[in-house]
Amino acid sequence: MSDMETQAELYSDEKLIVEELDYSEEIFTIIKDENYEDVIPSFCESIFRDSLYETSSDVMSDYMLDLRNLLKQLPRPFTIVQEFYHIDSSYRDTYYTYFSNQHFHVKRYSRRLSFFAQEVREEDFFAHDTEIQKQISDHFMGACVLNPLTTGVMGRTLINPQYVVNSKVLPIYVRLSRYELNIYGKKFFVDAFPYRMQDEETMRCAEVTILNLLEHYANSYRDYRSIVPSEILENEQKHSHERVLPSRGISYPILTKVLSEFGFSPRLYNLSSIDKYSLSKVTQEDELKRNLHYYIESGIPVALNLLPTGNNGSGHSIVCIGHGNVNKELIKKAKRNKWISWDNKDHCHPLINSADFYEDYVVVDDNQPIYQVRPFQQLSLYPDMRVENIAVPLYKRMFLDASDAAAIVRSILHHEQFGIDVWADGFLDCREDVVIRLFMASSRSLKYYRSKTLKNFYARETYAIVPMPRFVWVCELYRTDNYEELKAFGEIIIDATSALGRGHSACSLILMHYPNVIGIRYPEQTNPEFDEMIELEEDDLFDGYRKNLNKIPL
Amino acid sequence: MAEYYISYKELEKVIDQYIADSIDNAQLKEHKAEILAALTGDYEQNNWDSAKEMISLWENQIEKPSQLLLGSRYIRVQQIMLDFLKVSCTSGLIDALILHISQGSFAGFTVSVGSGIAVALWELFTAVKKLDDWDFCVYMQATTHFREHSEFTMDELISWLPNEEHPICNMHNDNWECDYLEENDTCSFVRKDKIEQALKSLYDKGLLGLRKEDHKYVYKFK
Repeated sequence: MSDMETQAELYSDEKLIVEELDYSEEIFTIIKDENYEDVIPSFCESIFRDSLYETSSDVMSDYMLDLRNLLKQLPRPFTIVQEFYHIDSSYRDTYYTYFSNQHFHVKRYSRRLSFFAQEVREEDFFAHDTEIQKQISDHFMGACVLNPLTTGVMGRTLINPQYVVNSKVLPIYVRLSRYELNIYGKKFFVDAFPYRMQDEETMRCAEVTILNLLEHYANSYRDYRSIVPSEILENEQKHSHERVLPSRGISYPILTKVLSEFGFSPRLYNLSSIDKYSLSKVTQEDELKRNLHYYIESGIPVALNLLPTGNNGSGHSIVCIGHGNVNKELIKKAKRNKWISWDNKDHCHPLINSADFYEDYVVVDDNQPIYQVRPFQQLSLYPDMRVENIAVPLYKRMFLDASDAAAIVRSILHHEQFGIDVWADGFLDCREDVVIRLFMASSRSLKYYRSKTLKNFYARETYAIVPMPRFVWVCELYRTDNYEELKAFGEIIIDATSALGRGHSACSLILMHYPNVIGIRYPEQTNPEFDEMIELEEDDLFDGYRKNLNKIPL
Repeated sequence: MAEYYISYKELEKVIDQYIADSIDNAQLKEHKAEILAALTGDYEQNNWDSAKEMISLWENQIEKPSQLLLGSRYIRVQQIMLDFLKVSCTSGLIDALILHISQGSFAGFTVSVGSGIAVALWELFTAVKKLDDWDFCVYMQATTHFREHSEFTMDELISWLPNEEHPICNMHNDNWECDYLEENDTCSFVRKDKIEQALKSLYDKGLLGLRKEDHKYVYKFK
């Protein structure tokens, strides 16, 4: 055997000692189909190597698995861009409030991983070429902060759901906000809803819920400011009878109180407070789900409190940000619960509530991977947990809540003067079912959308001219066959800035649009009558409003 | 099937009509307040005090109708449950239940007869509204024939369901969208195994009792 042969045998593949790449110090890591099975585990191992616990410990294994699963979900090829000395405002706040006081060393800096849905090389990322920069920006999927903790490693995570949601559950409809992230001196934008894990010391699930919600609202509307965890704890302390740090979790009445301290006018819906009726098969859960759906359809992310059935054991808190697709089986079931006016039961048009068509909701739950689509009856990973409370962070002038809005709409649609039975009778068949879709919208967006999509000139002009408050409740009307394509034949718009009793329901009406006619009421009109009736010669079906939620298509 | 929002005032009128349609309706008339209290209250965990208060409100309302007290309040009712309420009035089921409670103590508690009637009726309606379609259909058929057959066999039950000889479903009306209803008002539900399953389910839910007689199972209302 020659020397060369001996050497070759010595350095055969099995015996070759290759220095493993330390991904924890790599700014750019490209993951492709060819290498992802090797690179992702090594990457995760490298990232967690310097943690307080051994990477072989159960705690770290779980976090590595979480990160590994997230990375495996991303479409390949993709690039991870790491920042090693990232300052995350919420982590830094908890660090100085709590972790810096601890005996054992806790690091100050977080690590941030940013994801790009293409191969990004160092020379491209830092290049001046605007074309290349635009291409990189267009492929930005989001970022995830890893905090140097033993619990709740995954910090502020902003990822566009289109890259991580399982295609089997698409399409989904979610409320997102556009976030600006600065990565190595460059600006990137991502449409996302914040996700983070609880660290179990300064933040439990309820605090995480508040922080995620407030971050969303602060980023979306200038009425709210961004906050840090210590501010949540300060406000909790005002309403608690014991210390709040270390956190032991909070009840939903305190959660809504904290939300009100940050400028919201929250509503709290409790399952057992909903009326039960001996002669109705519609349960309290059904009614709670309807309320949830009205808000989700309004683009208002809400906090959900889950408790074990029987109330034994600890509860949980999550955020609901969207809904899944229509469930065809539920359409059939919803028809059985159609509303009929008792007074006109022999000739009125029954109303079918589209809120009953949906079973799946999109939740942000720190016990589960980001953006989970789960049935209302089983939103939690844990079995036998049901939604017990819904906390809705409403804007201070949204006085009319969902359940009152539904009652008013029902009353108007069967009203002898303004109802569907009077104005749509020529268009609909005798006693034909009508599907209703109820949601709140900002009048500005609604007017913009209608001016873009209504075909009739006079209809567009009327919508533009009629004075509306900042927020309105809208009830779109559909024939059953047109609902899935969202082509409405009419709608009524009611004032969301007033909480009138049911006896005065028609006084809430701002606009009614039935086939070939629009009626409007001006703010000075105190009587339940229209100031103007506009007859429309050709009034087509029109597009249902779609601006409250982002569709993540199949 | 449909859901109505009905005022207490309208509901009272409906009950008056059902009572008027019933033969031997003296007891129903006497206990109208208890029936209305059962339909409008919520007596979880045998809340007798709450039942007593609701009966008292209805007694006042019947005597001196008031818009403020109960007149303008609404409840939600479904057509299917109104249909059941009607047959349970007219077939004598509610009558039998009232008689049973009037004659003895109710569930071992020392309570007034009125509260016992209201709570027992509330429990009955709450149990029936939770039944799924097949169970509901069987229970309603049995209730419809209660006056003539307070006890019945499976064969009798099958004979009451629509068949080739009698194709018209006695429960069918325009508001009831039954899954088994076929053309010409016939029914595809009448299959022995399905009926057996439904009877077993009603027995398990405590709505029907069972005894064996001449090698046959005889079902009765509990």
